[in-house]
Amino acid sequence: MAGYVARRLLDAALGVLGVTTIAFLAIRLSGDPVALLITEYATPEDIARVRRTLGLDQPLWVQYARFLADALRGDFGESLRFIKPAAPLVYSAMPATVQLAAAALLVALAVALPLGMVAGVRRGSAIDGVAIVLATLGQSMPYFWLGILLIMVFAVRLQWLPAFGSESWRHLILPAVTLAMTPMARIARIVRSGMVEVLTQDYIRTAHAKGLRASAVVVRHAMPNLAIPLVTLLALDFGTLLGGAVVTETIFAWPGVGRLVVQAIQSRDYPVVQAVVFYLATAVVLINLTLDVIYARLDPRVRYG
Amino acid sequence: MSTVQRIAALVAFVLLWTTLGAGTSAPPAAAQDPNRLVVGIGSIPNTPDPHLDSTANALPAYATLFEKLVATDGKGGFRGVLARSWRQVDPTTWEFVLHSGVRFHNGMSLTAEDVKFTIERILDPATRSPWLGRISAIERVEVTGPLTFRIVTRGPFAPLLQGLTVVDILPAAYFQERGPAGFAAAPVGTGPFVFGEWHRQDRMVVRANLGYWRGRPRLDEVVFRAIPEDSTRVAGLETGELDVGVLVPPEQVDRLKARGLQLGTVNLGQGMVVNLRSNVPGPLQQRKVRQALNYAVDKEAILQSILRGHGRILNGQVVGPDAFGHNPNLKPYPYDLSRARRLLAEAGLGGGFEVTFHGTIGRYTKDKEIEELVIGQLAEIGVRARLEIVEGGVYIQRHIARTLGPLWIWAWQYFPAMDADLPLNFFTCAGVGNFFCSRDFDELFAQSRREMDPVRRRALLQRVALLVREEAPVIFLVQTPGIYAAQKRVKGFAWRPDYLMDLHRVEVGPR
Amino acid sequence: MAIRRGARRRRGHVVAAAAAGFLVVTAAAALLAPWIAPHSPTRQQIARRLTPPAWAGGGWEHLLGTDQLGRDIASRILYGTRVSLGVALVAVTLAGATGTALGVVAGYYGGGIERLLTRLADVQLAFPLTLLVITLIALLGPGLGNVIAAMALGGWAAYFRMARAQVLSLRDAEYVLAARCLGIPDARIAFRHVLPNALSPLVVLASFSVAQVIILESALSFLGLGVQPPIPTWGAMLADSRDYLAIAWWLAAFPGLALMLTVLAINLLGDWLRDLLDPRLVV
Repeated sequence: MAGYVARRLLDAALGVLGVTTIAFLAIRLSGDPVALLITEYATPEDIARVRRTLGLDQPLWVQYARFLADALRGDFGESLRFIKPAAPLVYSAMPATVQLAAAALLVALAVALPLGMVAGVRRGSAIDGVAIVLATLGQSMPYFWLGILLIMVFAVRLQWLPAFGSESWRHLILPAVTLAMTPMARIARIVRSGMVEVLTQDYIRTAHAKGLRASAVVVRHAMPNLAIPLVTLLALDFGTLLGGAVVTETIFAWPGVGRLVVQAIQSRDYPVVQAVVFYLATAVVLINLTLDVIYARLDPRVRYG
Repeated sequence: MSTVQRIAALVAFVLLWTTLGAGTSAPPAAAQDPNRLVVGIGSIPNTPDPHLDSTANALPAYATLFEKLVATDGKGGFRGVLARSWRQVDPTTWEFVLHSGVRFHNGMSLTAEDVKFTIERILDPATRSPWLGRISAIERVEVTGPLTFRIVTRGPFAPLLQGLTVVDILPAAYFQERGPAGFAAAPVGTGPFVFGEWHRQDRMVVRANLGYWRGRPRLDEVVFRAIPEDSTRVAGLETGELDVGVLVPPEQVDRLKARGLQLGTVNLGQGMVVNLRSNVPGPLQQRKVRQALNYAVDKEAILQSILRGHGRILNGQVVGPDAFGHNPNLKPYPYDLSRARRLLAEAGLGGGFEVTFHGTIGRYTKDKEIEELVIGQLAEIGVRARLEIVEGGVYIQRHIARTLGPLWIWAWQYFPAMDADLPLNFFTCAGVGNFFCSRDFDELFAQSRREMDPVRRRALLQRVALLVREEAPVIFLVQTPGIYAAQKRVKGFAWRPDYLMDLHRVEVGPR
Repeated sequence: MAIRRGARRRRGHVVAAAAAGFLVVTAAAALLAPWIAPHSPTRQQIARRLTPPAWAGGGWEHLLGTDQLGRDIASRILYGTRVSLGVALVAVTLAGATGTALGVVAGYYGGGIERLLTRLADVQLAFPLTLLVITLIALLGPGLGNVIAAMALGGWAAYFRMARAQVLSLRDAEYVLAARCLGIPDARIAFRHVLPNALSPLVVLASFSVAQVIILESALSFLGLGVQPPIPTWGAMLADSRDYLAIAWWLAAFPGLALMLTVLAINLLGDWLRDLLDPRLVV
């Protein structure tokens, strides 16, 4: 087990290195960040001077070596836009996005679990059809579109909730619902098909035969078997959520990583992009690693291959 | 409890905990407090340090904390802000006297040393100030007394005051003690408000400066909220979460009016045009072709249909009547398709031609629709322009690198100096990212920069404007509108052509 | 019991048939756009801008009304179908074909190639697709071809992983061993005998991806990184309409409806396919 984890950790480190290197090259090839730092009123000499102070006049491999050495110490340089060290900038943006994503997953689970379960138990019924169409409908709307509609209805028309900002839990509701739609549909589907499968198993029939109530069967026996695919899906959806957060955060003026990184990409603020890429890759790799270890514990058939 | 259940419980707990607990801080900054003004704007400053961000949206927030030596007076001249008076000693030397009794927020008095420090900081390339180019003609600052100093330029440089309208004066001793990062964390200026909070991409809060040298502001607090999405900003106005919102899309004006909000439009100091690259081989080298394109575009349609009457047609020059050097005698190119076709035919291009048109989405007010409209109209005279959208982040860069065009949308900013010199500088043969070259233009323009007498300088700039109209290095479109809305209870709010707001005098009544 | 199950299955088939029917009509409309569209999708009639749909007082000249530049919305949706569906189909086909081919090769041959490709796919899957595509477009610039390229580049890894897993589970099947004993070349075995048996989850994955790519294209349009105007896409029409929501609902309603119904139909069809082929599949 320890050897397996060690090997996986090494793999993970290599993966993170690979991602960061690709990001470094991509950003450098995509254009010159200096022009973004100065107004159109700067002279060529001004530009050259700024370039020198940033070390951008050095050959690419020198820049890369310097970047790696600094990155190993957690130093990704100073954000060109915010004139602050990039790493703490990214840290400080993370809680807002994590909070939003967690709330979205909660909303998604709260709706999708019962929906999927009912649909699965009553497979083929009208309820099933309605449930699945509803779940899928949410997924069929672009985030920005849904977000604007929610603002129009719940903030402007009904005046129930604030239209933007991140000050209180009330501010969290609309963006969380917007972001919840995609995972909601996916979770509902998984729960439904998991239900269908489990309910045809012999031990469930036995439980039924023992006279257990249907709800008890579902909760005590069927649910635990859904845990693995569900946890997998939640982990996979981490990335999807971050992608959705890009748009959702823009609509709701939510000060999170999604907005930070998109603007960083667009303004070629490469220290920030690199810091985000690094933390993101690390997080995803660690999540995958944890999952694999959990699977190995849960399911003896999984070998430490 | 089985392992599975434990994991499920753990997941549920983590989600709940992060949702409820681990979030953001800060008390709600809603528009409830009667003496607080909440302003919705596309973005807030990237840093509280005013020398490091030149984005237009940052300027109003900086102006609450910091002040300049001089500002434009709205009539083509200048008024002193921190400077009480100034005079020119010789063609390269200017002498300034500061107001006495001006105090920074930390209690220190403003002295000439602060001015010297400020200008030298911007001139130092290590600062990486985006404002460097505006004042790079300054050679040195000489302190001649506690409140007097001289600015020496490299050669005669008429638009010096114009350059100084962007220079926020910082306290030298405080800055040196704190260092740049320390200063950005707790910035100190002389302005009507003192720094409160700054949250990246979210909000900046400033509070009344009770000891402000020109009398305390009527507001207790101003909150600038960064709301990038137009429809969200409008929604915030409708729900009352915002007291003031700027850059309202023209289509939303009637609706907000119907809701009882006050609406205003200011013509911002920014001339929207289509630049035409005429210094490389191609059809645009011929003046007749450039003129034909100007005749082919219906400016009135842009103004009435897209901007819904907000804004102002540029009358054959890149600045509006609010700029020094504007020529009131020029007329816009009329919309005249037959004349456009004739000019094309005379240039030997009766069949039209194909050309690339670089555009943006969301960089300027209604830019995408204006681009599509212009392209549709050019097609009427056989000019088949292919629109290519360039991502906002690299647009200036490609402009400077001369990789845009031959046609590309552009807005020539001339605020805060409100002077035609600013944009025209880029029409010289040696201008940064230049796309047009005329010896006559260069000569006349250079003359205007050496001319210290304002009356004669204005006349020279007006002659330059005439020449530019005839040469048609761009398709002249409109001066872009800045539409803003304020709740009824807000009194005295106005947005200015130089993008600033006089928040010092604004009052907020009870809800 | 058996009878009831049959009824349920039939109902599933009915939903799927309806979805498929809708998609066929949509695809036909896209293909026939130049012949059935009443107007040019880019022709501007500024004087007739924001004309409401016919039944809301706009007149029959423009059935679904006109947009902010006076362009016919019905025609733009028809042409937009071509672009939106086309982008999605081409991008998914490219991603699917590349990912599958590499996955089959990696799964069948193993060794260094497999390790390298697997590492590459892992690296890529560590990154949210949306962010990856935005980054690629920042590199390549916006535009039809680049949007397709970015989505294809961003999408191959999922197919790779799935194809490889499928092939790994089939590699040592008896019929494969038999084929090998008969001296059939490896490439032929891999693609002619192993791949067809591994195909069904890939098809399901692809169907969901088409829906995902259509949505992603609209997000790109929202961020100003999509297909070049004036080419109409549903996403771009939706993104442009958001300033006009309160004064001209038809600008948003019809492209929104087209997009939602299409994505819904694709997803329902994907569900049905999965139920049919392999209900346990996690996609």
